[in-house]
Amino acid sequence: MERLRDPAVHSSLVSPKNFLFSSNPNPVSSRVRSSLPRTMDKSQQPSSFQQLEKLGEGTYATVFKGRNRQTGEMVALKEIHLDSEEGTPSTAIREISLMKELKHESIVSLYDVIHTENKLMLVFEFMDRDLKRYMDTRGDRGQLDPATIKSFMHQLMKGIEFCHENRVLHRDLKPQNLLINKKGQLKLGDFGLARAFGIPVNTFSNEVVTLWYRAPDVLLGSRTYNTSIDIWSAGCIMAEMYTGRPLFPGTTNEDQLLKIFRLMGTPSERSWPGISQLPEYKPTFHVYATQDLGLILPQIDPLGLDLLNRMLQLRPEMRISAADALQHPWFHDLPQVQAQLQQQQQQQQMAGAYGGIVPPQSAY
Amino acid sequence: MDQTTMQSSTFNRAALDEFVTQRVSREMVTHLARQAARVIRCEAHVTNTVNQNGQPTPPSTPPMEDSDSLPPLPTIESFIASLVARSQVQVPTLMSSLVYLGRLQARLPPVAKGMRCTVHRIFLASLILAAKNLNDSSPKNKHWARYTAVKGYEGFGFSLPEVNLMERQLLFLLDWETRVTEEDLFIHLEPFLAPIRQRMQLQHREKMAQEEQQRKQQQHREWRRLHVSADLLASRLRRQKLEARGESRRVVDTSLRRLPSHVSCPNIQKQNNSPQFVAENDRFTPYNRHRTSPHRPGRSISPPSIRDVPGLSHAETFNSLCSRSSSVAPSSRGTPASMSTCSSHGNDDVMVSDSNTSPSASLTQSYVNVGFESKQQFEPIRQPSKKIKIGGHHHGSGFVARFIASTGSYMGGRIGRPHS
Repeated sequence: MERLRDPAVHSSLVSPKNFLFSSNPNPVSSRVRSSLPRTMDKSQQPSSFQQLEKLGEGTYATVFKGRNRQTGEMVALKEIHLDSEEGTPSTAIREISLMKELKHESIVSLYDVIHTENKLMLVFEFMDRDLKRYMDTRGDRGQLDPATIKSFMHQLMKGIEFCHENRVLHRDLKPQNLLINKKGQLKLGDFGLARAFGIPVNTFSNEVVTLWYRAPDVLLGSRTYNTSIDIWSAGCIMAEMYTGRPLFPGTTNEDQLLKIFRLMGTPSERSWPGISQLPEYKPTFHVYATQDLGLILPQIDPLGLDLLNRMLQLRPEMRISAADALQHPWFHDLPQVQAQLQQQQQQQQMAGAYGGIVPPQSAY
Repeated sequence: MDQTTMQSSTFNRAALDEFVTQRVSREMVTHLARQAARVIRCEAHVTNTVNQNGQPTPPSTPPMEDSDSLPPLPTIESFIASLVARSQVQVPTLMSSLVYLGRLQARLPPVAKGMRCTVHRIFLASLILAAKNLNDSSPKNKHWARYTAVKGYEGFGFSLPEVNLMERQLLFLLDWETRVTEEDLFIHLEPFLAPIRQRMQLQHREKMAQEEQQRKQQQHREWRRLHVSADLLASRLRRQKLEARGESRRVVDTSLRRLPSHVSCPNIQKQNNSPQFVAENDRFTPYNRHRTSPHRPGRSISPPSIRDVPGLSHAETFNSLCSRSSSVAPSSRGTPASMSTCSSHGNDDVMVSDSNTSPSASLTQSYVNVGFESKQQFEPIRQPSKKIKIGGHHHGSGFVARFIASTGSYMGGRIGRPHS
C-alpha cells in the first residue's frame, strides 16, 4: 500500500479559492520540475488518500481503491497518466468540468482533483462494481431478474435525463460504465467521452460510443447526433440485462449496422427521410424485414417491450426521450418493485449471499 | 418586456450561428488582444518592483529594443495573428477563448500583475483550453508550442514544458470550470453579434412592416366590403320602412323574417309600426355621414337584394377586428346603428396605424438606431462582477507573479532551454 502524497500543485474542488490565496509560500513551481521526492511534504494538506488495490485499468487511466486519511471514507482514485506531448487530455478536461456540474444521485460523484506535472488524479465516490461484472456474478448466466432490471433502468434513465437536462451527452453508455453499489444503486460513470452540446461552436466526431452500443445514425456517419444516441445505448443495455448477452455484438462498423438491420429492419429513405445523405449510407445494404424484438426477449413483459421498442428506433428523432421514458407505464409499478427488491436484499444479506470478494471494476 | 427578451435571444442565436461561419478578421484579433490585455496588468520589464501607481499596459506593448538584453517581444496582437495563421484555428474556437479570458479576469484580484509576456501566456492557454474543450479532435500541446514562434522575433516562443505548465495553471485558476454556455458566448461575443443582430432585426422589422401593410390593406378591403353590405342593408331596411308606411304590418314582419336568424333587430320590430319613430330612425342613421365620407367617394348604392343580406355576417368579423384595435367595442351587433359606430372606430384605427407602421417611418428609425448603436459596439464589455476574496490580494498577486516568473526559456532568450 502506497501513501499518496499531496502534490505541490493541486486543487480542491471544494474550496478552490483557498488554494489560489493560500499561505503556502510556494504553491506553484516557477519552473517545470521533475517529480518531487516522495517523502517530502508530510502534510496537513486538505485531502490525502491512502492508495489501496488496483480496481482496473482503462485506456488512459488506472483506477485504484483508496481511503480518505481524514475521514476513513472509501474512494475510487482514477489516475490519468499525462503525456507530455499532449498536455492535459481533453477527455480529462471535459470529464472534470462536466462532473463538477452534474451532481445527481444517479451519477457518480467527483470529490477532488489532484493535478501534478505528470499525473492527474480524480477522486470519486466508491462503488462496488460495474453492471457488467454485476451481471456476470449475480445473474443467471448474466440474466437479471425483472425487478432488478426495472430498478436499474429507472436509475439509468434518471441519470441520463439529468445529463440531457444539463445539455450533456454521455456518449459512452455501456454496462462497464454503469456502477452498482451494495444498496442496489446504479450510477453513470466515466464521462471521458461526454460533451456539452447546444452551442454552435462545438465540433463533433462520429467515433463515439463503444461499437455494440452505438446508435445507427452515428454508425452511418452522422456528426449532428444528439441526446437520442444515449437512449439507443440504454435500449441495448436493457435488452442485455434480460438476456445476459449483448444485443448487437458487431465486429466492425458495417457488421454492427447489419446486426442492427437484421433485427430492426433495413431503413430506407421512406422509413427514414434523409438517410441516403448520411456519409456511410449505402444503397446496397441487404434489405431485412423488421423482426419482433419479443421473439429474442421471451422474458420481457409487453409494457417493457413497448418501452424498449421506443428506445431502439432506428430514426433518431423517433427515439423516446429520457424524460418521456420515465413517464412510461412500465415504470408505474416501480414503488412495489423497489419494496420487493429491498426485501430480497435483506434476505440475501442475512444469508450472506452478497459478501465475499469484490471483483475489480475500472469504470470511473 | 418578456417578449423582447425572448426575441433578442432568438436574434442572438441566429447572429451567433452566422458569426461562427465567418473567417478570422483583423477586428477579431484586435479585440482578442485588447481583452487579453485587460485580464492582467503587465510590467513592461521583467522586474520584481511593484509599481503601486502602475497604469494598465497598453494592448500593444512595443518591443523592447532597448537594453535589458531581452529579445524583442511581439505585441500581443501580432502574437495572436501569428498563432491564428500557424494553427489555422477557426472562429468558433478562437473566439470562445474570450470566455476564458473573461472568466480569468473575474477571478484574478485587481492588483494582480504580470510580467511582460504574461498576457501572451494567458491568451495561449485560453486558446488551448477552448480547442480542447470544444472540439473532439484538437492539436496537442507540442503542436501549440511550435505555433508560438513569431516571424521576425527570433528567440521568442514557448517550449513544450512551458505550454504544459501554463495550461495546468489556467485550469487551476479557472478551477476546471471550462464549460462554455450559450449565455457566455452572447456576453463575450456581443461586439460581434450586435451588428449581425441589428441587421437581422432590421430585416425582420422590414418584413413585419410589409406584412403589416398587407394585413392592413386586406383589413381595409374587408372593411369596405362590410360597409357596402351595411349600406345595402340599411337602404333595404329603409325601403322596408318606407313600404311599411303604406303597407300593412304583416308585410313588414314577413320581410324582416327573411333576415338571417342571428341578426336581431328588436328596435325596428318594436318601433316600426309608429311612423314617427321611423322618421327618427331615419334621421339618426349615420349612413349619410358615411356616404359623404372622403374615403369612399362616389359609392353607388345599388338596390338591395336578398343576396346582400348574408353580407351582414361580416359584421362579426369586423367587430372582432375592431375590438382588438380599440377598447371601445360596440355593445351590440347587427343593428345598423351599432355597425356604423364600429365602422368609424375601425376607420380611425386604420388611419393611425397606417401612418405608424409605414415602411418609410420604420426605416428611418432603424437607421438612426443602427448608427447610434454601432458607435458603441466596440465599447468594452462589462465583465461580471468580480468574485474575489479581498483579503487574499497579497497571495493572489504573488501567485500571479509566479505564473509569469515561469518565463524560463523565453527570459533566457532561447527556446527549449533545459530546466533544472
